Amino acid sequence: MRTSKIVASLACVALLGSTMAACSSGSNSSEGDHVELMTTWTGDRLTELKNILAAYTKESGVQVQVISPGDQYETVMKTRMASRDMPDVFETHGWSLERYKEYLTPLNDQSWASNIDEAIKPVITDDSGNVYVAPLTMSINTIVYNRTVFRNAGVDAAKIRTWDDFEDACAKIKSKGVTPIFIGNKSGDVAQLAEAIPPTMLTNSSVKNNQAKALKDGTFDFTKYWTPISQMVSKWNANGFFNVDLLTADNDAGVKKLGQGSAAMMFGGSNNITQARSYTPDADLGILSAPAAQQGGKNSLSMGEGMCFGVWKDSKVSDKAKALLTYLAQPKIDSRIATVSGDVPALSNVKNDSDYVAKCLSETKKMFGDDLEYIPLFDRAYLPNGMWDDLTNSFTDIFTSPGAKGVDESVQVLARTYQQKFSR
Amino acid sequence: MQHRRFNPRNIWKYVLSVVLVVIYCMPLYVMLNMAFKSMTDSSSRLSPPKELFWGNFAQLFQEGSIVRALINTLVITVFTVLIEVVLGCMAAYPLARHRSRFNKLINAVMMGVMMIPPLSILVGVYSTLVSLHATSTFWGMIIVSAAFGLPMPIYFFTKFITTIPRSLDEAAQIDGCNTLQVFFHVILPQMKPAIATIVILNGVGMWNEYGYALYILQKPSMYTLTLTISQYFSSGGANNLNGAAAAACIATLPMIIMYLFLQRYFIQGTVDSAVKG
Repeated sequence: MRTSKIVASLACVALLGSTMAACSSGSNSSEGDHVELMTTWTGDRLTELKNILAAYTKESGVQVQVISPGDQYETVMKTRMASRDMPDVFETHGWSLERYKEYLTPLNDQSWASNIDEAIKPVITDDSGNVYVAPLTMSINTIVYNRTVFRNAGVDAAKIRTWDDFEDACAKIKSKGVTPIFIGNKSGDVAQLAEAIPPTMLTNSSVKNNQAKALKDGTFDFTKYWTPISQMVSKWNANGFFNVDLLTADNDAGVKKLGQGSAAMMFGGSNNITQARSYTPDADLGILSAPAAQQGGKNSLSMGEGMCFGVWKDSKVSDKAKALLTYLAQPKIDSRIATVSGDVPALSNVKNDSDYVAKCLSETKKMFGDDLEYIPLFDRAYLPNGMWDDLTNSFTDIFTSPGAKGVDESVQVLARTYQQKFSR
Repeated sequence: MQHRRFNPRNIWKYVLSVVLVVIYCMPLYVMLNMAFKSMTDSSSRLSPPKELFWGNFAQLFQEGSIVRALINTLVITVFTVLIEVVLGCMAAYPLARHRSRFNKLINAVMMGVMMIPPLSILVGVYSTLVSLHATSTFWGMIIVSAAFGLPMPIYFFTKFITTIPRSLDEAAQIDGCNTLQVFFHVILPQMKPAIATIVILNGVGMWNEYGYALYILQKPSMYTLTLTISQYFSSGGANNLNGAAAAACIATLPMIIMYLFLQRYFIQGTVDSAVKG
């Protein structure tokens, strides 16, 4: 008992000491008439955003209260949507039209609107021509790869022009004892495959029997056209191209392995590059475009919303919120946001050529030249709202039931949910 | 003092104890280990750091958020538990002493409320708090937490009071005490073990509360410890597990201190809740 009291006393002293140490350095921001801004960002990215906003407060006198619920962002937003109590400014994380449009105010009349990059414009513009967000960055959602691993395995990224070439590259990488493709499906990331594979077989401009119209009008035949996609993923699984802990691993484990060179590729956003380099600062990484389904077809890069902020239509400080977005859309500021986010600027007057991800993108552009096509995110452009989880379930079936059974289940799950959601 | 002799036939008990101790200490070890490693350290979570990295703690205290979170958590925990204990005792006394049909109904309702998962009525509660301007306020968080926490103490105290002989009340009444005096001077002193049990169980529960705090306390200046730790987990960026581990070290320290001072009550409380709850 005496020992435990001594330990407790020591712990008390430690706690008191740490409290005093913090009191001397901590500070509370003053609160008043402020703009409430909600973001998905945490860590270094949040620190940079707070620095930018602190400078804005100094310049304009407007306080900005940053709310960052971390990985619970969507659940908090859904509750606030249901309660009609939205933040004045909030991130739309790829859902500015399908989910948040009815809560947002159109921003077409803002000074920066004329500078929106043509690659992102169709993604954030509704049928009436309204834009509801300030697109500060756009994400490149295809494949990121480790250049060192490619070099060691004798794989030339520039020569991956078809999925057959891709499979050959995977086999070479696997023979070197490195996992060719890492997917962390703990939070459903297997659905990232849908941003790269289906467009090349169904909707890209070079696809012969193009299914874009059928996907949009609800007449798409999943059994006929989606089965080859599931079969290809199933084949990769049978060949051992994926990490063995695919179903339980998280994305964080993937970016660590990508940076360290124990995984060669990850399907997903270019922000994976920034994350991987936060763990392994000297990692040599790049962006790989999705190869074409047939010889002679174009490679493609999926572009989606990156850091996009909208203004709540019922905000009491709407003018201040719009002024804040105008500040963030300035080239100098937007460039900083793009750099820290791992995305590329979505405003044509903003350049951040010295940034690592921007360099990766320009290298990929150089590599493929005119054979490169920029496409919208497949699930947002061609599938009904809310199908991300269904894509996850569909691809997961391939891994939980390897072989023909899994392929069949995968296709059936998607066909069923597509019809259900389309009929709504 | 007589020492018990070591019996070789009981060796499996010692082995089992060691295994259990290792299992229980493992999360604490990993937490401490991670707290003293940098984010770029890719070594196993079980291997000790090559050199102690204090950057995670330095960052934590430079920001100052952890201290504010400690204070916020303390305020919410103390007031919530206080309300639960005071109102719980006072509600339990008549429920235990007057076994009328109405009181049985009240008891049944309390049991029913305990069955409702708090987050299942989140939207309704949140909307009400918004209309009351109670989001990001201490009182909003405290009344919601106390409302969800009260049924258990009421039920527990009711069962406890029924074990106190009614003749004590009668003797006090003969001596001239009114109902409130009987409660405060005779019944309440008897309830110390039950109150300690509730303070410990609900206190620890409130200290670790996350579900409702995430929605109610959205202003960073109102964040509790759990919300501050959650800041290290990103929805799109890299998770800073090392920073989270350092924050968790600070967050658990008060509970460890409380446990070391009150371990007798903790153990008694656990036994009581198992036997009487």
